[in-house]
Amino acid sequence: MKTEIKNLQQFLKLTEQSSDFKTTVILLGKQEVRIFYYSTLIDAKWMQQHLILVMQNRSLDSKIKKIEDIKAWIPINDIEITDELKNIQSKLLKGYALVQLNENDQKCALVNLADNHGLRENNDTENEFSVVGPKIGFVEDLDTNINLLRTEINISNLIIKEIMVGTTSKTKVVIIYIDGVTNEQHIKIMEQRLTDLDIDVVFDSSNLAQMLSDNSKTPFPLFVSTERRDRVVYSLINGKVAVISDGSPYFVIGPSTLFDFFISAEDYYLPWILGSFFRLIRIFGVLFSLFATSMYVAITTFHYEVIPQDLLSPLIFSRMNVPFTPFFEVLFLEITIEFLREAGARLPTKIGQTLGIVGGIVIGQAAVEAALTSNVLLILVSLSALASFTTPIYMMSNAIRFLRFPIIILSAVWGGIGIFIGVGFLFIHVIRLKSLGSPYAVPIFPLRIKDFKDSFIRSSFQILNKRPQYLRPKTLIKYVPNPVKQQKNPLDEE
Amino acid sequence: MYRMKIFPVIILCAVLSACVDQKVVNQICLIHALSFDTVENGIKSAVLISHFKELGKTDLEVLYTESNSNISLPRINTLTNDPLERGQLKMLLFGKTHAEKGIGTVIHHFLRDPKTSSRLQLGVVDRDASEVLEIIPKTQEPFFLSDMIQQNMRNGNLPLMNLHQSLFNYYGEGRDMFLPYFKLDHGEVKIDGLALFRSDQKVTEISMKDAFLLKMLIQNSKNGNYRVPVAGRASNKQGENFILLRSMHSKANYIVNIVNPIPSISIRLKLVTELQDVPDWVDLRSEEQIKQLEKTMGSYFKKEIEKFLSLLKENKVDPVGLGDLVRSRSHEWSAKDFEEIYQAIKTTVSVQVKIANNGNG
Repeated sequence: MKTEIKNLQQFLKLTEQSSDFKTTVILLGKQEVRIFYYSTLIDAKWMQQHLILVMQNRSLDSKIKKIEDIKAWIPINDIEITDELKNIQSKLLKGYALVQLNENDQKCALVNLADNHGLRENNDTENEFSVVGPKIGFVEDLDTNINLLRTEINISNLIIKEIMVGTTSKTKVVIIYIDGVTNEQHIKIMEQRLTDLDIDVVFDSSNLAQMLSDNSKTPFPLFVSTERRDRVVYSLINGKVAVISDGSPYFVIGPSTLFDFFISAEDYYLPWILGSFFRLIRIFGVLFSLFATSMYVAITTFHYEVIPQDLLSPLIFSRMNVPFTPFFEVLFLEITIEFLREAGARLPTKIGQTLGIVGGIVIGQAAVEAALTSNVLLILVSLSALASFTTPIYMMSNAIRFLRFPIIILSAVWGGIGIFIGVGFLFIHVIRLKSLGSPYAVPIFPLRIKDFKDSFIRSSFQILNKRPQYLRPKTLIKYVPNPVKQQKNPLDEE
Repeated sequence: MYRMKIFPVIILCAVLSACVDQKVVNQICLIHALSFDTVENGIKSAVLISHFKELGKTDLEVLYTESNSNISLPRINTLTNDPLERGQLKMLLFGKTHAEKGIGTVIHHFLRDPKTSSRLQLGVVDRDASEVLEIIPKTQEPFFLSDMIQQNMRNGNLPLMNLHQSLFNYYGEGRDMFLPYFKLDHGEVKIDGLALFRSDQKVTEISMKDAFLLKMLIQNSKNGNYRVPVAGRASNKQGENFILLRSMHSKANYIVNIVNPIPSISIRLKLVTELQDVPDWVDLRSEEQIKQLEKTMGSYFKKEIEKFLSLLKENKVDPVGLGDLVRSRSHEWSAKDFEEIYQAIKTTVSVQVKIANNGNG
């Protein structure tokens, strides 16, 4: 049963039950000043130096009369004088210390002493690595993250809206967008979904991404979640909305399209020809990873007549002693690879390396020698696993690895027709998906020819001066390209 | 509602696509070549099957059966441990007597089989076809014959042929089928020209030399070789008065001058060649002599093609497709009527030869 808390004294009595809630009483002359705080949330050294010592020193030559004096005394910026119980309650839990002059006072001062130790200043982008370009990633602290963003987007149009989410965790979640660029509809939808959200604890932004998504029955991630600063900045200036929760290094960006997940920040740091080539390679990798092993199953079980005549002998020879049907052979190897990946992700890095060697070389080679799998399949499976890791966004590469299995089963049942049925259902599903109310398969469906310039390929910056149409931005043009004028070299003689 | 619909769709997919038998690639017996021969009491067919045992080495085996039906795979199935499958069939051989009797039923059978590749090669052997198949296991190459035909089409005198092309020639009105003609020579198999068919019956055969003329008449004769005699200074040695040329490019132009009652067709050929073997008295640096050579070669080709066309008319076969050409220019046309006038149609040939390359000199 919840008892109604009427005043500050009652509240303090209640919270004192918690062992880390401390009360310090200091004597300033004759006056007793009480300080209440959660010892686990505040910086004790900071409190000693900037609160207690300062107050004791000042009390030698002047006397504290009312609570507002503290604001003038203490050299800490974030001080609030309040008698609002709810505010006090939440601020205390955020690492503020409560300063009370008299025991029966309702008004008190809240001094920010939050402990920021243990938080990283910034983060190497380990999960979304790029060779060229900055490696600045976000950290678990919201203020640092916003600071990192503000240093890159130097305009006052960058709007940050705060929303409290989580009935237990009371996590600060912010919506970030650029005013005058982002379509208001996207902002409204995001805000609406966040305020409607009812959940107890927000652990990470990726929780949010799941709960905010338009369709929860899909393996595809509907929002890009990234820890890279440059990716967030690029999305924001294109007119997207970013959301991050306090304590999470991952931004959730929407609306996103399917092709956003195959974009690496590196594409923009390389010349556009190379960037486009690598992007195409990545998309090819996805297709390969989805269909290579299921094609193997379909061809070796049903459609032997499509095998090229020069490949016939090696293929039959490699499968000669394998007792299983191709389907079980593929399933065995694919699941082995998934075991390896899962174990590698859970183990510490150093053991993980050993595991790679054991898994890749020993298991693979031994499986072939024990005639459990064929050589050809071993190559196909490891290549398709490799290809699935080329996807820059981790959530997407997981989805692709998962989707392989239904297609393999379909190909084992119906052969090539099964693969086509699988592709058909996949297409229907992707086309129906929406991210923040905007279509997921854009620019293919609905067809937006002008948006092709930054989907399969990355065009040059001369062409990329307009924002994508499907985002319906309020200002379309980002910058006016000014081609480099060929100037005559004064050293060249005519 | 959406969820209610999706299950019938999945079930329909399962039912409509039917259940195909599994044919795991290492649990079937692949047929690479088939041959048909006429024997006293029916048809003798032989199949070339493979056993892949070691990497890069293929054990081949020939199995025989005799029956009075055309395709007797079920009978051969009783001889093997794995089911016979003909999805990798690349070569069909017909014995001479069988080809003369007619191969229409066999062709029709393979036309209807969806597993058959349309790049399947057909061929006629100058004696029993199974004798050729028996030679193949020595080579350890299951696709020896079809590869041989293919490389001769690319780098030799054979025109483009496969099941697809032959079906077009066989079923197309106003054109006749032709197939490669194999010969056994000292235990070796070789391609010895083309067998010409009227409908589905072999009528005659032509040499590789004439095959080049046919290739020139129906398509680009790239990479074909031809020997042209040149009259010149008297030479003691026999082989010196010939020029061996390699075609680099050729194009045939057909103009139908008169359609009724007797068609008259003028054929203009352009041939770009490269000289391979030249008698030593020919001065290749002299433009005059080159011009002279081009002229003599042109007139020689004209003479030979006219001779070739009259051979075709004599045998009433039309591999060039003159009938089809006339059909495309006439309002009314019937294969029967054309057959009657085929021997009477006038053809005038003009050949323009250009020597583009004569080696370093």
